Amino acid sequence: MYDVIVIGAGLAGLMAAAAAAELNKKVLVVAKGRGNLYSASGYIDFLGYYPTDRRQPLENVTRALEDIVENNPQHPYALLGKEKIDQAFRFFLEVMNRAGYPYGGSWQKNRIHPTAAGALAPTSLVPQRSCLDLASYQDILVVGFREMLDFYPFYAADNLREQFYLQGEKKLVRAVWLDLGLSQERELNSYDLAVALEDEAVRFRLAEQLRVKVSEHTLVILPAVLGVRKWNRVQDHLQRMLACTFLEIPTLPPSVTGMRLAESLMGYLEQRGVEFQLGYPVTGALQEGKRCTGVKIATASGRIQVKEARTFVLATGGILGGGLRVKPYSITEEIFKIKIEMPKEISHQDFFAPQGQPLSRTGVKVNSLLQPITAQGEPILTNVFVAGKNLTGYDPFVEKSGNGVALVSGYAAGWLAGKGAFSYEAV
Amino acid sequence: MRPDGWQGRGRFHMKQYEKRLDYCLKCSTCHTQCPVLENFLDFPGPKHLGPELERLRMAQGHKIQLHIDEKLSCCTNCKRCDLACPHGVKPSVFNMHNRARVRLSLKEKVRDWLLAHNGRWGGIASHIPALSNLALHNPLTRLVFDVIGLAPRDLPRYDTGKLKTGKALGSPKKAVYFLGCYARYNERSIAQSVINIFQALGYQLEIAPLGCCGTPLFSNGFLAEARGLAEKNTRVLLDYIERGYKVISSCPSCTLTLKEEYRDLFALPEGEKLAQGVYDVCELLVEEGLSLTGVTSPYASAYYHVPCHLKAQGIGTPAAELLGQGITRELTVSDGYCCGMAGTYGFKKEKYELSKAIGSPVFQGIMDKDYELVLTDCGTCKLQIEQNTGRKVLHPVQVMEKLIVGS
Repeated sequence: MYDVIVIGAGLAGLMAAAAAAELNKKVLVVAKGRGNLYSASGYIDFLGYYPTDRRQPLENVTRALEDIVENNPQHPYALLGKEKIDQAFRFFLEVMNRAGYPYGGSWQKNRIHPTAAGALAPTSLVPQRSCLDLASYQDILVVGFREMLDFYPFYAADNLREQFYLQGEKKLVRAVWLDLGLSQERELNSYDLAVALEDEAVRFRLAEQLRVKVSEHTLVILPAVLGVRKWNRVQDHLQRMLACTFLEIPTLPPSVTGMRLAESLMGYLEQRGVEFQLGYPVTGALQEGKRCTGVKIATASGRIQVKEARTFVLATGGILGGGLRVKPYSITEEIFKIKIEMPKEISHQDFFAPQGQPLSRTGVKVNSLLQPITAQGEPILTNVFVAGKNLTGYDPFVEKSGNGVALVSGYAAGWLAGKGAFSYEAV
Repeated sequence: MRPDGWQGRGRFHMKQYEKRLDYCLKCSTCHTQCPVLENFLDFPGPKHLGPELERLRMAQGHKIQLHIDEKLSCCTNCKRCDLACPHGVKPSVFNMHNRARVRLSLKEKVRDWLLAHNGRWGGIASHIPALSNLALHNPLTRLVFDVIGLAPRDLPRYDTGKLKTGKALGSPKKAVYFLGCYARYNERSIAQSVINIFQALGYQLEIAPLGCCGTPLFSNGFLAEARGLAEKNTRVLLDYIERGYKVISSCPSCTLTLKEEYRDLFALPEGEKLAQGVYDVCELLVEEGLSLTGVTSPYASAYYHVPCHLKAQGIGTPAAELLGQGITRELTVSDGYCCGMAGTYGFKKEKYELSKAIGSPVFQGIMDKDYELVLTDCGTCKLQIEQNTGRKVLHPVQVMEKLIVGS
């Protein structure tokens, strides 16, 4: 018997597990595989654009949040409120510190970070080592690797130069291709390079080629390849060899920055006694009235294993994560079979419409305790708390709020589940 | 598109897996969990060797023989890719099929044939254990082994002990024990512990009159032969299941093969039914509600290495559940790394260094601390750990036996 079972191992699920573990609860995380963090940037975007038709990244986030709370009551941020948001972010920063992969930044202030294409995009929290102020660097060198797919330094540098120019900043942005002398029997991606750079000899080759190009004032922008599990040692070593500053950019999947976040968080949780059972899906749940008593997990033998708990967190990742199933005339939550309202207009003709695609707002309707509710507002289940992309009322793609909602709702769901709270009064 | 139930060129019915191919987004999460790739950069990785190649093959309608990268033979079939996939794709199924098509030199073929038929050798050698141990462990044989491409490591010794089974006839609790090659030929004390535990718990325990489960065969590419074995094993075990027996095994690879490979890799029509009746020893003990709480802890600390094929069964770690209840005061459960042995894989000369590199975090973890016990369920994991750390490794049942049976 567990205190809390978390279904899903993405950011929302891991945050929920962390929050429940913080309350010294016995926690089990079950998921059909590893979460989508491995394909994500590892940056935490709280709110990049609001209202969504804005072209410029949001500057005053606090005021935008007040607007959401007032005018958009179904938005997860509105349901949870500023205080919970603040708590959740402080908790995340604290946990990542303990996990040995510290983050920097705050939700109140958007940071502008370059993307792999050389665009400047808003985000809130980034790994401590990438927490730099771009404005203080006049000399920028974008580095690409000949062995690696999907990162083109000259293309990124051209875009960056133009964007800085539009902002009225004149910076020297150069680009260079490096060759690490790795075997080219196949195309390598950022994970492969990151593994290769854990080898000292490869790092020397990198440093040697870079030494002639940089000074101590140079900001070297490169894809996130500076080590996977031993990133600390890799980056310290490079820093000792070269005086310049490094800024890693998240890449296409497999994303090394996302992987570092996932694995350091999971490692930390395992140390705290959280159990993981990854690889097989939860196929259903046992219910008694409005309470869930256990989840059914498929195993290799085809037999169903039932795991019981007092409370549950549902963080299965919405439509893209496989938590919600869309059929031509219906949308259903997969585990508790919660029926979800179909939007009147399913898709917008303009794929990149500023108001976003209606389907990306679909999800489970919840109350402020994150319990799933009916259209009339009645709780469907009292000891199940919903988090992350399963929630309705926001569009992570146009708002740039995906990881922010995952972090805040995951924390809140885990905390409520850990407290065994079925109403705030009970907390 | 091929017609339904198409079978040919040693390929079996894989329809259900082709459907799952559509779920592969090429996110490469599997790639990040592959122990081979982490230590051998030229390895193309599970995503490429599995779903990507299979899609290409389907697009070409199976008319053109695709080039199978020979590095596929470096796959250890640890199945960490299957468990990692966020979308339920199983790259290892495609890998096992395609591995049979990797072109090998004659020498490698002979060597692989010898390794794949370890059950057969075990059958002969265990009749004359002293002689076979002498024959296997001398400098001259070493030289021969080196020539035929075997790794410079000790082969497991053959066991001389005899298994004792008493009979608790008429007990409503019935189990049939699938020994597997390791417990049958190399370390009978594991089998004896299982027998003693189950008899102490009032089971009518029988030993299945069967040999190898087929894992060494199909992982060395002998698919057709393994299928024959699978059909025979399924027939015999189903007969037991119909008479109310539960199939148990102490070897994680045997258990996984009985549960999963007969159904998925060979698509045996009865595979599903068999799978439902197969249990890992500790899985059944946990399910039976066996509790070791209250037992005074005789050991201060233990390191438990979770074998990949146990992890792949999706049953959690039942042995750790039992062990953590009082056998040891401090139990370190390590399931993050493959030990690199992968059955016959680590015995191949060209894989030897890679095999040790893959397992190095496990060895390091064990050497770092002075554990009183080192435990693992799998026979070949055990060999690998013993040879690389010098520590004696036990099967969890060997420790549990003392507490349950008392001796």
